[in-house]
Order: sequence, then C-alpha cells, then structure tokens
Amino acid sequence: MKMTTIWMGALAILSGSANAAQVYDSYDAFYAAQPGAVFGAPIEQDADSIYSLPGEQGIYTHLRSALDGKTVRIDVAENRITVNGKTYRFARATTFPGEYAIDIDPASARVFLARGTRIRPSLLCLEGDGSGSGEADRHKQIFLLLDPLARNAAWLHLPSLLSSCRAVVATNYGRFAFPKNSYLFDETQESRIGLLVSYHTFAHRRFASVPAPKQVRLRFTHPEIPFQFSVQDKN
Amino acid sequence: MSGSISKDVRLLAAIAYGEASTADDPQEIGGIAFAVANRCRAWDGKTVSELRSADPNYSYAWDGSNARFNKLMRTPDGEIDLNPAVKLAVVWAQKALANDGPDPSNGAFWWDGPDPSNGAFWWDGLDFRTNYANHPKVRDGFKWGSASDNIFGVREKRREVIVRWKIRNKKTGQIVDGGERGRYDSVWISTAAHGSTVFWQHNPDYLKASGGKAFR
Repeated sequence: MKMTTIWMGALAILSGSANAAQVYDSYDAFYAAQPGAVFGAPIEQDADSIYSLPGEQGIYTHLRSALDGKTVRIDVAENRITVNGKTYRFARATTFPGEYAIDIDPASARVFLARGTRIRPSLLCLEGDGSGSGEADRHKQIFLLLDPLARNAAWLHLPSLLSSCRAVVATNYGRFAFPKNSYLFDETQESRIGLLVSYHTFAHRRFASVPAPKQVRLRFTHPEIPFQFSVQDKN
Repeated sequence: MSGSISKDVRLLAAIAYGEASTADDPQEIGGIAFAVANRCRAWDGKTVSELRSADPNYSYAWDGSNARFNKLMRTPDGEIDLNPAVKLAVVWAQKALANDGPDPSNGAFWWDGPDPSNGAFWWDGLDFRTNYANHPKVRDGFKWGSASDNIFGVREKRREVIVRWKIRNKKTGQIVDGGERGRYDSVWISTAAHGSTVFWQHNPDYLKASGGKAFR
C-alpha cells in the first residue's frame, strides 16, 4: 500500500471520529459539513429593497445576482418567486408528500444559487418562514428550482422539518439529494431524543430515496430540544 | 365533565394542552386556547378544524409527534375528569370558543380581560430561547410589549424595514420606484407571557407598511 493511500485513510478515520464527537448547535453548520453540500451563502439582501405594488397585496423583495455568467433578477413575494420575469407559485410546486405550501415573509426569505457543473444543472433554492406558533420554528419552507434559467425548470417543494437550503447535496452520479427528517423517540415513545436524516432525490418526475448518502442519525444533547445535537451514526 | 365535547373543542383543547409546557400552568394553557380562538374569529370566523386546513404550519402539535396532543385527542369523554390538566385544557377551550362577543377594547391594541393571551394570535414556547439565533420571529424582528413578557431573558431584536411603492410609469410603461409606503421596526410584538409561553400579535406598523392582515 502506498504511503499516500495510508495517509488518506488515516485522515478519513480522523475526520470521521471528529465528526462523531462534534456537538452542533446549528443545522446550517451540520449541513454545510456534509460531503457535497451545494449551497454556500445566500444572496445578500439590501434592507431597503422591499417593495409593494399598488393594487396587489403584500410586499416583495428584489434581488440581483449572477449565475452561469448571466444576470439573474429575483423577486420574492409571499406566495411566489419570479426569476428573470418567470413566476413560480409555491402552491404549484411539485410537493414532497406530507408537506404544505404556505405564505412566507419575503423580507426574511433567503435565496441561494449554485452554479451548474458538467453533470448537474444550476440550482436556485428559496428558504422562508411562515407565520407559525410553537414548534413551527422547526419547519422551513424550502423550494428548489432546477436549472432556473431554463424554459422548463423543475419547481420542487422540499421537506421542512429542521431542514435548510444548505441541506441539499450533490450526489456522485450527477443528481442532487435532500433530507426528509423525522424524530427518533425514546422507548416509551413520549420523548423525542434524536433525528433520522433520510436522503431523497427527484428523478423521472418523482421523489425517491437515494442509495447514498442514505441516512444519518442525530442524537439531541437534551431530549425534546433538537437545537444541540451530535451525529450518532451514518450509513 | 358531564356530556360529550365537540370535535372543535377537543381539537382546541389538544392544541392548548400539547403546546403548553408540562407545568400545566392554567394561564399558559388558557392563553394558547384563546390565541387559536382569536385567530379563528379574526379569520372569517373559521372553526379550529378549518384553521388547521387553511394554515397547517400554524401549529405542529397536530402532526402526530406531540405526545400530549395525542393523549388528549385519545382521552374518552368519560375520562377527561380523571386528569386535572386535560380537564383544564377542555374548560379553557370551551371558554375561548364561547368568547365571541364584542371586543372589550373597542378596537384598542391592549386590554385587560379574561383572555390570558391578551388578544394574541400566535405563541412561542421554549424553542424561542433554545433556537433564538435562527428563530423566525427573531429573524423577522420582534419587540416586547411589556418587559415582563421577556420570560426567557433574551434580547429584543428590532429590524428597520422601509417599504417602497413600485409604480408604472405611464409614458414608458416601466415599473419604477415610487414613494415610501411605510416602515416598521419589527413584525411581532408580544402581548403577554405565562408559564413558558410568550404570546404575539403583528406590529400595526408592519401591517400598515405591508398591507397585510392581522391574522395572516
């Protein structure tokens, strides 16, 4: 065995051990540390770029960025996003089973862009919050636009529980994957002690689980409080 | 408790019981029941079931993962009296739904009355402290209606936002910047706090600047 191979293997083991021991207090930080994370920082939003149109309800924000060498103009309203003049309504997205599209506060919404690669199209992700109570803060409205500058971009509504645009990862076979999370309970089924992160993708016009990355188990530091956790195991 | 309870009373009681802390504080349970009922009344007089359908994100106690919500939903009518906290939630739900008289404040923003939420439409529990950095109401901007509402000892988060009109230029047809529609320094204002729950309404300045509705 070559020395470099041994060294790389040792690094992988060390990296795996560090990952298992690390306590996270942010899902964004956890997702950003996953291999293949697609999105980095959101597009910067000017606090003075919030507008209203006479005769139309609500407010919208205007963002401007670049993607694959082209200018992208984005308007985010309560129930839709408009990309270079083309509007995508939340209610018309292909929705992951069990999710519901709701209005969001445009002023707090975040939009992420990821360049395309040789084997994967560019991506746009919108992350927002509705007006919820109690544990609604654990749910994000996440919408993904595949190939956003194309004429027939796919428009998806992804799972909400403790997720994030930063949770989207590129797979090694040219697709993207995202988590569908569910709570793990204690033996009495009364206390939530962890989270099962199960990865899915969208292919052939339907959602499906993916072979890899498949699942990650997170354990909460304190039962019922999901905002501090560590990785229990991966497969 | 004699007699059967209606489907809406049961659903409301389960939300109040499920969303409240395990301390079973009567004002906390009652405040949550009233906040839901207040929003139902403001939103075209919806039933609690209709509110759940119209805004599934409003509360997640009803998604099957909340043991207390599930417990109350499964408690037979004849066994409600056996659990004082469950009974308390049912009584508050009945009281909140029956409170359909005129607004005792005559439209004022604050009033003293039997509603422990003090006219709220929303609430937050312990997540407001444990998820403070990423909490939607913190990101939106919030302020305390009263210093005593700060039960979690967290900083107020104001966020200055100016909303401007976009208008169509009659000559060119282009959409151009217009004047200022309004400004606000927070989306949320607390109305009360009991137990481990803070109650909220929208800031009137936010509603004016955004053209939004108080119950959305």
